[in-house]
Amino acid sequence: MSTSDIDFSKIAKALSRFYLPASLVTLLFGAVYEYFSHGVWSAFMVYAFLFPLLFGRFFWETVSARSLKPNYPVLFLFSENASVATLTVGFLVRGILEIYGTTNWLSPFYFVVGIMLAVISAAAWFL
Amino acid sequence: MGVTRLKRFGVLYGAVLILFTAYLLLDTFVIPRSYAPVSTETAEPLPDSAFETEEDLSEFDYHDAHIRVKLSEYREYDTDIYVAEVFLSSAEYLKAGFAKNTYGKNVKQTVSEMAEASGAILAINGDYYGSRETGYVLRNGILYRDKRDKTCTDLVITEDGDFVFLPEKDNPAATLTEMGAWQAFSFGPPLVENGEVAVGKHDEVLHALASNPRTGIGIVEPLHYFFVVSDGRTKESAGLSLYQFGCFMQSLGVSKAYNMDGGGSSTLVFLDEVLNVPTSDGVSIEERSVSDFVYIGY
Repeated sequence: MSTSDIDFSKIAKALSRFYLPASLVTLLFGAVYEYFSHGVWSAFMVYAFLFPLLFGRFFWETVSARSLKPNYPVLFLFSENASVATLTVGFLVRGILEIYGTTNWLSPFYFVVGIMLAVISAAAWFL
Repeated sequence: MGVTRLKRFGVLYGAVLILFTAYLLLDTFVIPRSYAPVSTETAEPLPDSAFETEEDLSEFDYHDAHIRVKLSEYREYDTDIYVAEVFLSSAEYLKAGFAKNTYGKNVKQTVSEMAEASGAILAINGDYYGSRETGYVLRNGILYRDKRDKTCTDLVITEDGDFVFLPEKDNPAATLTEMGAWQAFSFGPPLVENGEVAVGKHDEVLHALASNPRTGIGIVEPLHYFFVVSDGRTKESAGLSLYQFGCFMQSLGVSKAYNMDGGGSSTLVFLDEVLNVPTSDGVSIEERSVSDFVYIGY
């Protein structure tokens, strides 16, 4: 796997820029959904925006600003972002189900896959 | 792997995530699944009435040899509350039914449609079992779902018409058949127990904080019940908290009362007429389609 053709600092900056509106959209979605949920409250819905904010915006901002690594495995790039996306969507879906008062046996898959991807990304960081 | 291939892989994963989510939401809210058709046989009324014949029957809005219903309307907590006091000669006239006579998921009808199809005299919404995957479902003596919801305390109506509160975490589904359950509803919580309000001021169903439309059933003694539905989410009616609902049920003189599915599901039908103001959003006044109902009839 060759990484010589990848400008990692450019990618880190692009991801940092992407995750700020992504966090705001998630926050807005949760706020609007809660507004119309007749007082039924779900922590999953309310706090879903923390994934793109903390593990997206803040993480890539830090990586970009401090140049923590000169480069990183492509596996890390994929698994870190996929993990954030999976857990964010998982939280939103769980929030929708919780507010409606229902369950679905498929919903735990988000958390299983999201955490697996997070573990893979953490391991790949040190490769 | 270059940036282009990485992007392609990311797009592919995103597409899988979107498709999975779409399927999950459709499976939860849209795709109907029939697990078992249900017999629609109606019971033949018993030949003799158990009621005393010398009573003044003019106070009842409906009466026959086996069923008596008296309707009342209250205004409490800035909310309209509809009460049906019911006297039965046998618990077999306290029935439950499924939407489209089918036990399943996402199989829904309005309470008034189900009431009309079954010839119900009085009907309210049930526990909306179809919106959950766990929680015992036992209707008219038949156990349909034995998957336990450990957070739930069931209302069990026994064959002699008494109410028993049964925590699912301590009782396997076999307990229901052993105790001769006629109906079992998995929602709650119990509102009144031994004549005392059984919910705290801050108790709610899941994380609901607001006042809401409510549906509940109370028992004074076997074969003497109160079916209660409150409005809510409208300008005219604020709705009730669980505690307010419990206090109101207690004021009716019940020894036990149980909270059924509420919110937009809350509906009370008497002789094919919807008595309350059912609404999900407070704007459009219409019945929500639900998976089941409880009714008085033959």
